[in-house]
Amino acid sequence: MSLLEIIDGEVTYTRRGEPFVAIRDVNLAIAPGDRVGIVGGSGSGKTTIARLMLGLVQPSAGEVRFGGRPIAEDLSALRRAASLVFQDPNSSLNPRMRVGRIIEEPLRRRGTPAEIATALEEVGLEPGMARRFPHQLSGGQRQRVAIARALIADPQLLVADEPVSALDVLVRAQVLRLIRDEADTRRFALAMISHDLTVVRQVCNRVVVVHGGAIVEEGPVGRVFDDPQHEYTRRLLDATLTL
Amino acid sequence: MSRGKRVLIRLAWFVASLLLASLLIFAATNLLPGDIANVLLGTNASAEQVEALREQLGLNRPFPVRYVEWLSGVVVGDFGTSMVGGQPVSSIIFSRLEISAWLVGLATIGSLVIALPVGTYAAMRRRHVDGVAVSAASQVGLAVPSFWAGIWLVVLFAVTLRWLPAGGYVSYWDSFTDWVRHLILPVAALSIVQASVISRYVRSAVIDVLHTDYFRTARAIGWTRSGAIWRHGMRNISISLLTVIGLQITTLLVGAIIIEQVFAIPGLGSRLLLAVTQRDLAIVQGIVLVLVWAVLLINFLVDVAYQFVDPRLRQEAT
Repeated sequence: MSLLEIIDGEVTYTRRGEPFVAIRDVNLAIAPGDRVGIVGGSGSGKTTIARLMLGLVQPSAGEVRFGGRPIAEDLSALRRAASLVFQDPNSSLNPRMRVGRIIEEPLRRRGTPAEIATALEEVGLEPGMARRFPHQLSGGQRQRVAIARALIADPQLLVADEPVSALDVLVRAQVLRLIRDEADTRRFALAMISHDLTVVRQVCNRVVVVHGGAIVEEGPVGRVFDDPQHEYTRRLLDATLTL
Repeated sequence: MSRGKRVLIRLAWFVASLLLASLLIFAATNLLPGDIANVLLGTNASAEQVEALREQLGLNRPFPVRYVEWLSGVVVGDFGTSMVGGQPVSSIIFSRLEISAWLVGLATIGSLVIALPVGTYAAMRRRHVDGVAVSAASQVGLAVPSFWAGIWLVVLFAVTLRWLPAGGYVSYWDSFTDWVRHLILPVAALSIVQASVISRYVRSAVIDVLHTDYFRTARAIGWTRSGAIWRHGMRNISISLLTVIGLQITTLLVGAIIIEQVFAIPGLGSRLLLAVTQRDLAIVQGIVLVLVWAVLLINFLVDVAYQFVDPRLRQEAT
């Protein structure tokens, strides 16, 4: 059974007073342990899909189900089981909170020193960093803190929205390895949003290509990369290879 | 630069500002038109009598000598003597300073108590009719002078409903209940107007938080909207509040001077206005100096508080 399902999902925003369809007819199922990469260019609608998954936007048509139940009926069940990592750790960590307080947030109670220390060590950080503020860490360390926060409550679903695009190349590889290893160990479902196909190839086992607000291609990473069916996927791959 | 050094630099600027303010106040009051000797002796006094009194009051000595003498007295709490009544200016100031301090202090607390929930509500409901209505009401509040609010409060609660006294002041040593009853309307008049200003800043700070990724993260992992605002918003709002309190303290002091007149409260403001009409330079200088130094002190404390409230300024912890 799918952990999360989007059925005929459509999201409409209002832009300068006019309705704007961000995504339409999106059908996507994520099973426990799945590692799905959602790729597409800027404005393709991939971030809207991520927000729809987390119940951060309401569908204008269709529905989202979590554990077989519409999330509209029990949003709190999804919120207890899902977590996310944003692109820019500078803005996703409150600059006025210490790292320890940031990490304990999903627990919705004060985390014990042991819990905080374990969470930090699992992402390769010193337990002593719990007393630091985000501005006292490097970019890679901040993103590791964001990952530690996302994992502390043992989520069933992790949504990572461009988790490495704000990081330099070396740190990017370390953080991707960390996400992949954690997904392997903990067996949570991963939905990774990215415009970078190489990132998806390193971490995911399935890829969904989004273009113009619709899913244009979907399949196992190997098949989509080796034998793309849709013209837009080919263009994305060509662009990656050219780079 | 360490936090200690930054505080020391601000302290040096603060002391320099105090000295500059004292010089400007002394110069301004001594350059005011009208001679205190003429005022004290009346229009029938001869030129010799006026000159003799000027000599007696020390008005003929050079400006720098008088300034240094006055300032060295002020530093030890001696503001001189009233040129009209002959009492020590410091006793006049300190007996009334407490009343004004209560008025301004309680009005600051009152305005925060109103502005925090109102500004937060206006931000969270900014796309709804009630949120827009609250925001519009605070805009209207910005345009209302505190004395006008005071007059309407008197008309409603003192004259029409007869719930509270229309003016005057009772010391809390004499009757705590009467002290509270006499302060409610003037404090409310000042608080309502201040709250309108502060709630705009609170609204803006909360909207900033609503747009941050850390707020979205908190929402996505199960925090309620109000829970996430409480957790993340209040820390950010504290910085905005410090800024606005520092900026608004001058407005509040000026408002208090007028409100003291409206409610016949014997505070520093009402005594200052009396001293101006009597051309009592010693009292004018003393009260203006205390008010300006109070503003500088509060701004200095706000500046120092930044170093502690905003962790990004705490370089020492690195």
